[in-house]
Amino acid sequence: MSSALVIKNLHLTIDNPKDAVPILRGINLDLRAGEIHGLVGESGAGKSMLGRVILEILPPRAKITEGSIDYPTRPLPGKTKGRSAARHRPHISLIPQDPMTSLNPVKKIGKQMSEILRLNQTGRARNMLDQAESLLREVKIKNPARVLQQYPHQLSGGMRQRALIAMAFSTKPQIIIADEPTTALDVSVQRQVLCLIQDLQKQHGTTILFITHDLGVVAKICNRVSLMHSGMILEQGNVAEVFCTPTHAYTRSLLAAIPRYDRPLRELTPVAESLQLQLQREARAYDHQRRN
Amino acid sequence: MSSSYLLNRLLLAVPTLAGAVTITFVLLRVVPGDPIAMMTGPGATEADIALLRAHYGLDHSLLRQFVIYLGQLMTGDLGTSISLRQNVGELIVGRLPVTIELVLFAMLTAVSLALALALKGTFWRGRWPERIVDGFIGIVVAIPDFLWALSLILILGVAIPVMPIFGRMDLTISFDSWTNFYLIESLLRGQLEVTRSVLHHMVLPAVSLALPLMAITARVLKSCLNAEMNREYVTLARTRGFGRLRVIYSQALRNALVPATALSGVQFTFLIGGTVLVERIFGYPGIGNMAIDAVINRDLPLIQGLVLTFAVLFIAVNLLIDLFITFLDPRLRHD
Repeated sequence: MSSALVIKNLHLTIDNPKDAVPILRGINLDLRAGEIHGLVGESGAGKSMLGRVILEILPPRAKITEGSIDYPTRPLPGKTKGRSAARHRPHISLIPQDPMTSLNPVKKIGKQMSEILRLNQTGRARNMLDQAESLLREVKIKNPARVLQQYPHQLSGGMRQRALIAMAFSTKPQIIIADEPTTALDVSVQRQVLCLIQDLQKQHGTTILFITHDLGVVAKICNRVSLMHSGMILEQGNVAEVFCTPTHAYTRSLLAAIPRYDRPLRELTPVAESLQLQLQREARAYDHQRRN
Repeated sequence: MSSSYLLNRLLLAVPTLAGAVTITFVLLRVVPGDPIAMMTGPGATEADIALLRAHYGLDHSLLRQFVIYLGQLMTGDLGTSISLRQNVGELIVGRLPVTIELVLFAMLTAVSLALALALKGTFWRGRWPERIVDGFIGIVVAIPDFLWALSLILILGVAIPVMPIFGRMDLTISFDSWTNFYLIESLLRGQLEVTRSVLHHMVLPAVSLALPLMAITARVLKSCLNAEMNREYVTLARTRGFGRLRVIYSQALRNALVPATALSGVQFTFLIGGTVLVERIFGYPGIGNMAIDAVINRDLPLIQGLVLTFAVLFIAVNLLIDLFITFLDPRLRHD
């Protein structure tokens, strides 16, 4: 199977005035075309930062110190230093975490969608609002013509996330980074949004990097999964394999920590502190080794 | 936007104006200073003074005077100026256009420069040119308008005398104005010689007023823009092919303008206050200059009329600002 995105030995640090803090430590990731790849890890593991590296929206002081990102199926201007040309990358888009802050509050949905379409249009039909309407219909918004005329604050969280999903797919991207797209939604809406993402992904054959800390979601929609901790990928593989025969202690401990309604709460074992400390020690040892 | 909202705002203006009228009236009569003493020489007899006092109604009790004043206000009569012996309303209507033109010109200059500075500063966010913009704003904001006026006179009026430093236009030109809006009227009537002279005279006072206003507006707008640039919707726009400049003016600017415009209502007050000094320095015949004369002469009706005018201007501008904000931000529209 061909790869949509290959990351090799990626190192990223954040430069502070005094020192440089390593955030990603030698990430190797191979996104296969058409798969949903789960990226799991606790807060601070570096999973969102990895997504931002791919989207090229790093915070100002973050620097890639080593490694490469390649798109085998798409010839790119490579490491051009030029600004807008290299920056214009509609083949990768983002489904954000928080639908409440991810839409421009002073613009109607229709306006926001047609702006994106206009920027990324490759000729052809010019009626952006009609295109926007059919995109909204695709994400199963009931009254698309009406929603186009509404401002973000007039829509519910679920509706906004649907609109954002429509926007993410509107540029016909090859790769979508979904950064915890259901975390801010309530449970009943979560399921609908997950199904929607899955359906659209099948329809368009998009490759999705699905960032989450919900292993249940990974089990339901992902083909493969990578587990991250302290900026390193600890385990990677098919979802079934990783879940049935985890090789890393951290993976086993995460799987044991999934709450289940058919088991009493005291059987729930959180990730042991000693394991956390050990992982952090390993990360520091890795940094030390690299420096010498 | 509903007309009931507008009506509501206009009704709210009534108590504000009533407050301004009452406070001015009481304050002026509580602080020391006597208009009659100012207008009569040291040789005036007790009888003369008493006669004048009665003529201007100053011999009545404070409450009686206030009632008479309010009664006149209701009919639109602002009284007669003691020092100029003319109707206050006519005096103000004659001079107000001068100040309005000056203030509008200053505001236009300030706002366009502030926009350019804030947008450029945001464009250079986190890189060294941003510090130059910040430094420039910091220096300009620290210098008050009258100091700009004096420095500009020294540099461009005295050292290199290229700009006129006194009056509204060349005394050699005669212009028979109908409205006293010299700039606009001469432009409309095609008398460009007058327009040129009025503009030439307006530059220095307007720039003096504009510079501090520009700096504070640029600073506020830039920090509002910075806050918007860190929001998720801006980051998202970047991933969708919006360039570094485009994302600022097409996404962040309108959002940043909401709080920045709200704050400019306060700045307008400073601008009005600024005209008093700056018009004085440049001998500019607006209501600011007139206000100083009125205070020096203890011209009670004229001071009252002028304060009322300032209050009305202030309320009108703030109403316009509120309407503009509602236009900018749809979230404020639906209550």
